[in-house]
Amino acid sequence: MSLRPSTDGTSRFESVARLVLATAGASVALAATLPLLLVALPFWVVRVLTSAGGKLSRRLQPRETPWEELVRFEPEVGWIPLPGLDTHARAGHLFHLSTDEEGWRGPTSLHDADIVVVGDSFAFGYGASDRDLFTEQVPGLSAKGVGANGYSMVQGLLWMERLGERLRDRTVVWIVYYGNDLYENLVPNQGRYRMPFVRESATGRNDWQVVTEHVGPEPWPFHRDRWYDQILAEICSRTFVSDRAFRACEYLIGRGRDLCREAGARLALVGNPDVDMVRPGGIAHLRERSSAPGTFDVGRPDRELASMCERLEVPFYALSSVLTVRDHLPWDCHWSPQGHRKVARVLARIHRDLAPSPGETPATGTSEPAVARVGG
Amino acid sequence: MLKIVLDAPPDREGLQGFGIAIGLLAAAALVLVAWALGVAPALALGAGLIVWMLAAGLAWRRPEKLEGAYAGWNRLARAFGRRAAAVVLGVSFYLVVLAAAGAGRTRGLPDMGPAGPAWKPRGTLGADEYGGLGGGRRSAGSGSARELARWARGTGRAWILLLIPFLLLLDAFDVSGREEAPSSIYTLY
Repeated sequence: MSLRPSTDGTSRFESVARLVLATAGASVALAATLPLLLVALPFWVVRVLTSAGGKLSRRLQPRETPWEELVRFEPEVGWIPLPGLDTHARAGHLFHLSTDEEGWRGPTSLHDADIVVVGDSFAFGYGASDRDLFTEQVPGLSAKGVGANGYSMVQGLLWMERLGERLRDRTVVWIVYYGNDLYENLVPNQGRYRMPFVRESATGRNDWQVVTEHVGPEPWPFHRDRWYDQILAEICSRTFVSDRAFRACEYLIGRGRDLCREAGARLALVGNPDVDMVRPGGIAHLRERSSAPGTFDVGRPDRELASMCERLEVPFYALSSVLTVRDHLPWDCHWSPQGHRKVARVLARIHRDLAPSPGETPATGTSEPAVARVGG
Repeated sequence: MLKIVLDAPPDREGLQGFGIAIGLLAAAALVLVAWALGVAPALALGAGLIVWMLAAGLAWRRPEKLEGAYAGWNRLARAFGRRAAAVVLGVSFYLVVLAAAGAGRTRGLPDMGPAGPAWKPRGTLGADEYGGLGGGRRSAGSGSARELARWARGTGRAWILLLIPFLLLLDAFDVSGREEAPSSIYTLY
């Protein structure tokens, strides 16, 4: 055997000797791990079969359309769902969705609607198939959702402005989702999409303006994943972010109220909690993520919105008083079919509060949930 | 190497696949037990088929009902994985590494470590070597088993290649993945 040293000085003999010793050791070690492999076998089998079964299940389902293929660029607003969609999308599970000739969900036309629901993906009815959509289940009334995934309140306001006269004599229900709407009123992008936002004018505090100049089809160059749990935790705490978010929100509600008044429509605001705010363990989960856990209060968004709505004389309804974890999808933040049914009944109640017909009483069998109402 | 833990959190299709898998395992176990007890093969197979179809049917129609079972299975897999990884680590260290080092020393072989530090200073790369802001170019096979083998042969440490099966096992028993859903699972709200 050659004793020629290798590059770092060890001889061939030493290398071979070690290889022989290590081979003997490895053989014993492998034999020692054999029982482990036998115990691990069922875990591997289940993993392989689970993966194969999942693939089979996906193959048997209709094609899923990613969100990016459901929207197109819309000047000033950022994006809008494509008109005439008839496809499937995913919110943990596949669901069927269709849009009208304007891009809004559901077969009811805006012209025929008693209630117009403005908002984000919840107003769009993301996660619910057409048959389960809340706008199609309002007892004795017709409703239309004007919303899209990712919309903040600023986009809702711009749509109210655009729809103007078409809102006349209608009940406009503005849904504010605490999970991201309040925060994203303040930011210029949603991922790579540019979106309008509000900022305080240089003239002073509480003088806000809607900014749309940056909105265009080009991707926003600077973006990173947002951790929405942390954002919601901040909104529920006494922080700089939440203080700013609530002031911006009050400005937007005030603008919305004025627009609806000018259009001859009745505005109501609905506070929509994130599932973590009604889920057992969810509140502790959020508190852990707050930068000021001592001031964390899961009821803060409801209270702040109720108080600003009272000042602005806009009726406010808190869905946190009616929605439970079962009213949300198991793998997604959006409402379950049961949640849609509840929200439909809340809409009926709001319409009855704001535009009661002479001698009107709730229809039999359409028990309206005891949703907390403040102001207006 | 294939991990023993299932993806968490599962989506609807993952739960459906799990239901099909567990149903198949339960059916196989039932058939084996029936066969061992001397039950007629056709009867045993029929019972197994019924068990599997019930599990698959539940998984197909109401996959959310399997969330608890899925989480329970993963807890079991994690508990086993942690212990198995400790065993593999211990066995490979004491029986392979120490065999090469300790046992080698008793036979008068020198220490395995190089005489000097392994750090070798290098000059900077030319600008054209950089593929972009994400990092420089990597040669073909960089970081691969082939590269390790080349290095092991070149430095006289071929015994290190014997650790590869144990590293693969450690990878399979790795349970350090996320156990909760990231908050960015939704495309857009």
